[in-house]
Amino acid sequence: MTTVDTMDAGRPPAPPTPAGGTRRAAIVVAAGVLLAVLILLAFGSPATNRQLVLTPGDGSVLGAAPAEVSLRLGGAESAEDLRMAVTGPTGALVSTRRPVVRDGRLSVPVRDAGPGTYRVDYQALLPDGREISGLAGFTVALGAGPARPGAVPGGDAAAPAHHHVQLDGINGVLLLLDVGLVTVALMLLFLRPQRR
Amino acid sequence: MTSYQTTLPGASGRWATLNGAHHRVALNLFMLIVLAHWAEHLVQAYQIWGLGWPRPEARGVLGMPFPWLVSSEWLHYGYAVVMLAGFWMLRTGFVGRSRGWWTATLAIQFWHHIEHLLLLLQAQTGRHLFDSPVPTSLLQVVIPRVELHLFYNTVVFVPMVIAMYLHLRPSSAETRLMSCSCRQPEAAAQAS
Repeated sequence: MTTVDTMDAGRPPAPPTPAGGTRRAAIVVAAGVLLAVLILLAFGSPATNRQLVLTPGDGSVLGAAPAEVSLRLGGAESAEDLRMAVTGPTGALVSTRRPVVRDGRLSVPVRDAGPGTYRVDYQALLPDGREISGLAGFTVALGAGPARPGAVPGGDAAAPAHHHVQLDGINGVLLLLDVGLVTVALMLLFLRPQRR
Repeated sequence: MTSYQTTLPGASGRWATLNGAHHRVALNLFMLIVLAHWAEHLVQAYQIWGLGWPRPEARGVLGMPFPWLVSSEWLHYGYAVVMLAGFWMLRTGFVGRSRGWWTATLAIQFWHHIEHLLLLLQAQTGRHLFDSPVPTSLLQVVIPRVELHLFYNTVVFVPMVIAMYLHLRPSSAETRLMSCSCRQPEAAAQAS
C-alpha cells in the first residue's frame, strides 16, 4: 500500500471510480430519505388525532375499577365498525355489553374484576375515513379503599391517556441498542471495503 | 479459479450463484430492506415517545398515508417470511464465525415468524389465544405489542449485525474458505 502511495506522488488525482460514485450516490439517496422523514415528522403532526382521550388513561393507576371505559373520538359524533373490549387481571373479558357511541365518546360498561391490570382494545372507523385502533391499559390498586364502580371516570386519576405514555427502562435500552445497531449496520453497508 | 470455487462451501448447491457471484449485491439489498424496516420502527418509537403522539396514530412513515399497512397482519407476516427466506437463502455464503451468528439469526427469526403466523391465523379465523379480545402473540401475554416486537427485532438484528461484520472482515483462515463476491481480492491473495 505504501508503495502505491509513493508511486502516485506527483501524479494528478485519479478520476473517481465507478464504485466511489455509486457509494456517493447511495449516501446522497440515504441523506435524502432521512431528510424526507424529518420533514414528514416536522410538518405531519396529527393535531386532530391528539384530541383522542381514553378514560381511564393508558398507564393510569386507579383506586377502584371504573364502571365504564370510554374514548373521546376527537370531535366525531358517530363512528362505525366499533370495537371496545376490556379484559381484567385474569385475562377474562370484563366489558359487559357491546360498545356504543354517545356524545362523541365510544364507551363500554365494565364490571369490577378486582385489583390488577386491565387491558383495553378499541377500534372505530370515523366519518372522515380515519380508522382509530389501539391497545391501552390501566391498573386498579386498592390503596384507597374498596373498589367503587363509577367513581373514577372523569376524576383526577382518569388522565388523558395517550398523552402520558412514558419511555420506560426496557424500551429505552432497546431503542438505544437498536439505534447503535442501525448505525453499525449503515457503516457496514457504506464503509465496507471497496472491490477493485 | 473456477475449479477452486466449486470446491468451497457455498460455491455449489441450490443457491450457488446467489451465494457466490451475487452474494455481495444480495446482502446489500437484504440489508437495505432490514434498515428500511428499522427506520419505520424507530420513527414510530419517536412519534410515541418523542413527539407524544397517541399510540394508535404513531404509524411510522408509510403508515401515515397508508394506515392499513400498520394493522395488516398480512404485511407483518410477509415481512417475517421475506426475512426468514433471506436468512436461509444467503446462509451458505457465510463461513467460519459469521456462519454461526447467521444461523443463530435464522433460528430466532424462525420463531419470530411463528409468532407472526399465529397472529395471522388468529386474525383470519377470529379465534384468539388465551381468550384474548385481540390476536395475541405467545410472549405478548407479558410484553405489550410494540415493546414485544421491538424486542424480537432487536434479538434478530444483534446476531445479524455481528455476522455481517465478521463476514466482511474475515480472518485469514475464513478468507480462504470464502467463495462469495464479498471476499476482497487483496485479502484473498494474502490468505493464500
